[in-house]
Amino acid sequence: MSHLTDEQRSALADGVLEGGARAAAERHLEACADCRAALAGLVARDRALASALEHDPGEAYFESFAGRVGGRIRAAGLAGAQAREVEGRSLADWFRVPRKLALLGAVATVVAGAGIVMLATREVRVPALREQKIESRVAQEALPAPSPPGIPPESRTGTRSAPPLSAEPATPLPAAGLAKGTVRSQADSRAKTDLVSREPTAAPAREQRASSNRAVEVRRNEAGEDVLVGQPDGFVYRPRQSAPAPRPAVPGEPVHVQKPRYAVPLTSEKRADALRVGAQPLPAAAGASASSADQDASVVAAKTAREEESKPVAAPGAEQAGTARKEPAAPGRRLGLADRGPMFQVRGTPEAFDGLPAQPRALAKDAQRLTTIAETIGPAPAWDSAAAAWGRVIEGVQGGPLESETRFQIARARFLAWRRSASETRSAQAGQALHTFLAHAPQGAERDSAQAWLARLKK
Amino acid sequence: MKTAPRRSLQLEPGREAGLVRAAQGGDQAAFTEIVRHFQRPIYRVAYALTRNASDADDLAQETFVRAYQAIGRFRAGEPLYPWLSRIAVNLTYSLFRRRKRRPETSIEPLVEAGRQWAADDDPAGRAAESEQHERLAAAFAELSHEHQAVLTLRVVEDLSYDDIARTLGVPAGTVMSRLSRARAELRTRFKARTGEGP
Repeated sequence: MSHLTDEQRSALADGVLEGGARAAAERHLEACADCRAALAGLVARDRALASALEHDPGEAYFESFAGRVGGRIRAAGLAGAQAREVEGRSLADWFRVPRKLALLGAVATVVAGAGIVMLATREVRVPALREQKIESRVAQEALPAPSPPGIPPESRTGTRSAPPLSAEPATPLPAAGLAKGTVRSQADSRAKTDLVSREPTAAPAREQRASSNRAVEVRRNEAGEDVLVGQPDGFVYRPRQSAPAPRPAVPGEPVHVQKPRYAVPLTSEKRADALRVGAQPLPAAAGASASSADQDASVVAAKTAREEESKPVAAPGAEQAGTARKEPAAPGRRLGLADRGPMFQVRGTPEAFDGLPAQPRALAKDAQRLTTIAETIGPAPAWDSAAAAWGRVIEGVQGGPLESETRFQIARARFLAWRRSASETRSAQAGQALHTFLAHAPQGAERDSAQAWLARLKK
Repeated sequence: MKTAPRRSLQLEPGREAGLVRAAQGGDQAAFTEIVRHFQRPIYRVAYALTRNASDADDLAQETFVRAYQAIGRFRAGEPLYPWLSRIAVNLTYSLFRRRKRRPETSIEPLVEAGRQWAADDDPAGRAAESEQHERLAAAFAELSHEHQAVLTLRVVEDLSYDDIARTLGVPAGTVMSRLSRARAELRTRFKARTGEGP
């Protein structure tokens, strides 16, 4: 006879045995005293265990139990199931959960890194600044580069940049010229206005010529001469097959002369030939007068050019303001300062200064030499020296016919010094010199130029 | 030995589901009603497993806090007490794991027995019963957590096999076999302590 198993006794005690199993177990219990004792012991232990494990803390404990649970819920910051769901979607929840906070940190790090990389690899458009600088330099170079008869501007300014558009009609400005011209800076426009004001009698129908307005690179050699190094990118070079054939000058018509695009050094042997007007067709050079070979050699050293342009100048007989004398140019006559227009023109010719006593004459020649040097190399200190030299001349010509001319040279040198390198001192000196000249200056191109310079100085 | 009167573990049909839905909607009063109804059985389970009034109090409160947090995920219509008791059992297991030891035998039953002993007319009989309870509790404390839980839910809370299975997350057949082994183990350990028969 097999006894009831522990599982059968346990199930029987719990009343979960049903059907035949329960009936069989009950029949066994009727016949088996051991199984009855075991079942009774199991039930007794259960009851004893229930009593042993029970504990009643008292009614007072359970009266306040719900309140304590509520207090713990409030202390935990919980506001309810619905509120928690909304709270879980709030942004602040991201900062309370460490995992989400770490994710936010990782995203922020990636974004910051990408930003740094973008900033580090961003390209700065240098060409715009470069072009702006070039425009500024071109405008600066354009002012002292009018269209004087005979001498190309490059030969005087060291040919640091190509000239702007050639001289344009005085007034009014032709619409075609504006439409045809390239976009220019305001400074360039002012330079052209100044050109017009200094050439009131220029021929109205001058030929429009395009220029690149691009700077060219020059390098100074051992002899102190500026030598073209190369062409910048984008420089459009269209060499002419041949220069236009010169034709005899007709009074009242503009005369085209060859104007070099930039300077190239000349050998000492060729320098004299280049200085000879007769070597090139120059039908007329209004107001031209002889100058010392040393002066003109440095000025016209850059005469030879690979590309030349036609430059209209006033023909003999035309009114050329600022020109002391108007006489046909003789073959072989050297180009002088008077051939360069009002800006670079010395009205007082050497012959005029030759009439002065020895000391003022020497001072005038020294001033002319320094002016030529300043026109050649162009820095502000050179113009300061020239202005000072002309200031020494003024004592010897005071009250005479050359006083106005000398004061104009002083004002011009002071103004150009300020233009090359502006400072308060140069501004004051230029203003004083211009005012002094204008106080007694006669009507004419010099006066107009001085007024324009003064207006620019005040700006 | 007097025991606290047991209350029904089941609310009226529909009443429990209504309270659950209200609590899920944020009704604090409904959740308080649930706490008041189930606080005693949850405390009994906690005390039976820990035999410590302080631990039982903490576990019981924490059980309702966890229930409050998770009631949004509870399916209304299901019996609530097995879910609550399961939370209590799991919290107790977690407490045991944190302590890395078996729960200590509380002196509170002794204090309670002494109080009853002082008021009883048969001090010798009450002393013998108290000593038996102490040995039985000690034997119970030596059981595994699973056996303690299944015995507590069956013997102390008088839950059905189905509710025990729902609470512990095991099949009903497992409850039957596990309960049988737990009783056999308790008998063996109790006999070893007292030297008594089956």
